[in-house]
Amino acid sequence: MKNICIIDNDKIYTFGVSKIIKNQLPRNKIISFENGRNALDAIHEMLQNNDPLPDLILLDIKMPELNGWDFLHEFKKIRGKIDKEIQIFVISSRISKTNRERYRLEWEPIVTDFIPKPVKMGTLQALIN
Amino acid sequence: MTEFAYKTNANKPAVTGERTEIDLKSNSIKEADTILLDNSKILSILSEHIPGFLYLYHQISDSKSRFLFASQGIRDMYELDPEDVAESIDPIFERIHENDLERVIQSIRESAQTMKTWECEYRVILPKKGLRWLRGKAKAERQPDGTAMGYGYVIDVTEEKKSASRNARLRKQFQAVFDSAPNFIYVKDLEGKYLMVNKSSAEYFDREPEEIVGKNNIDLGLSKEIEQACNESDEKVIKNREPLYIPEEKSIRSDGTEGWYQTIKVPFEQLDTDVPAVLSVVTDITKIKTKEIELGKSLDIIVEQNKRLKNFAHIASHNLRNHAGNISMLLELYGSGESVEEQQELLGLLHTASNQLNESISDLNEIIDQEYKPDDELIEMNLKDTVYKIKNILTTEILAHNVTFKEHLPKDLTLKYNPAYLESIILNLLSNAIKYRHPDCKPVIKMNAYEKDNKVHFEVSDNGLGIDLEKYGDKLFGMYNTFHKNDNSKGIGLYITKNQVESMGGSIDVKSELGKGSTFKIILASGQ
Repeated sequence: MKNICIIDNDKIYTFGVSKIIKNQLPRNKIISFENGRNALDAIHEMLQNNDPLPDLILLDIKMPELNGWDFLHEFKKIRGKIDKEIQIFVISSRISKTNRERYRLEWEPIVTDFIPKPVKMGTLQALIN
Repeated sequence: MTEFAYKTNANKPAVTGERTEIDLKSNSIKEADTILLDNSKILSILSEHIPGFLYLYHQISDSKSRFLFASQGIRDMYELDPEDVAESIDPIFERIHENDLERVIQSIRESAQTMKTWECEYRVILPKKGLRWLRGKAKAERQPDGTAMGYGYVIDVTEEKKSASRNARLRKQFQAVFDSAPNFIYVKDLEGKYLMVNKSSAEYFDREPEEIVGKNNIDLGLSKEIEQACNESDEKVIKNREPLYIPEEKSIRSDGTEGWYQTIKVPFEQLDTDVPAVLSVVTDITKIKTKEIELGKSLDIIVEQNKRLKNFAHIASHNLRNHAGNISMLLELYGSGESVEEQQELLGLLHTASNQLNESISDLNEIIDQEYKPDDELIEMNLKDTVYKIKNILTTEILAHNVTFKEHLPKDLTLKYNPAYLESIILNLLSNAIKYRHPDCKPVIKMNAYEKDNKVHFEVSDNGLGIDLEKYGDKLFGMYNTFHKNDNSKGIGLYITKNQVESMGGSIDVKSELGKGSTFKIILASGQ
């Protein structure tokens, strides 16, 4: 069982992805946040309370308050305190064939991969497994 | 010519002093012969080393004359032997160009009568050398017996004549180039006085070139500043002894209009003096410069439009793709056989997703609409009235959030503006100020308007959430950028506001502090 965290302000997308994960891989736990700020606050709280941290984060880029890049920068700062390996996948319509490789190099090893939106069901399943 | 056909001893030069067969009229001739006899040798030797022809001419009567002495130079000048002219000067007259002969004879006669120095320039046609120009000069002297003597010389001035005519032609050619050039070409001394001006320069002052020479710019009606600037650059040229290039310079013409000029200045050597002078070649580049400025403006517009188009393309590829992606994802879920309840839920979401797609498309339409109608009719608008109209539209929000207004809007402040734009700008700013109010304090919106430099300034401040400008400053007026979690944020309001303000020739600026509030300062360029 995995703890999966979705950070995206598109409610329909979040609903859809959650649904797919629930249907296909029913034993996983899903939490979602509509922007980076809320997600970061939640992670801080988890760290404080020793609650289980997510195994997998699906992160959007374009969000109000704290966008995907800001979240990554903030996350980088607290990564040292976390002894668990958290996989982050950035899933955004901003990812293209041309910038994907550059982002991968730039954010290795914090981000596992960059995936363009819209994302296919098969791709999601592969990520989670 | 017969009147000059004297009969003399044909074989011997006069200087030999031998008795001739001529019936000599007076003793003075005998005397002259004797003097010459003594000096002839010295004279012959001396004269051999002098270029040109030296002679002593004796006019016995109007029709009789001879050379008492003729140097060897006669061979060079006339291709004759001294002996040829001992008794008659006819051989010389035969050499003279037919068009000049009458003049030569006339001048000799005049000199013999008046005792004035004979001086004449004339052409000769020589058997070997062909056409030559000669110059003769002789001191006339009256003899006691009434006859006339001439002590003189003749030199070849052909080369001098040639170079003089070449000089004259060169000067003519130079003048033609000088005057037909469209540039202003002139030479000035260091006191700023014009020494030489071409036609174009003179036309600039609406005068003739000769009216300008000797005057300075102030005499000609230009300003002291211009005169000073000209003199300073001229001094520089003289001091550094090198050309000065002024690529472009704005100047006010004597008629008050503005012109652009390109100037090259070089040190100029004057013909007859060492006084320093500067040659200036000035080209009127006003037309090119005007085009360049226009081009720069067009480029700015194109860059701006390109930016908008890019932004627009960005929306098409990202925003619409997200909606499409959502719809296809929901359809996939729908197809994967769920319970009726779940299918109902998915249908509801599909409905929402399709609405969002529609909304995005209509937003894009609205933006396209904004971009392509800058030429709408401008109407005299009262700013305060317009603000009140918008406040009326926003009554519900204003009452719901208990908004206070602090206004400083002059009652009679009007401007020529596109009415739809002005309303949209005010609506956007006010509704943003309400939408992004601070949750912890009562919303206060301040409005201030005034006229400065014929442009209406309009400021809207709030005490709301504020925006981190360091982070988002460059994105604030971009499309589909949102900064607060707010369901109503679409990210096109300020984008449209900026477009509207700028399409009317104005500008928009923002100051903001996170948690404290924002102030939008707009210059609504009035159409007046």
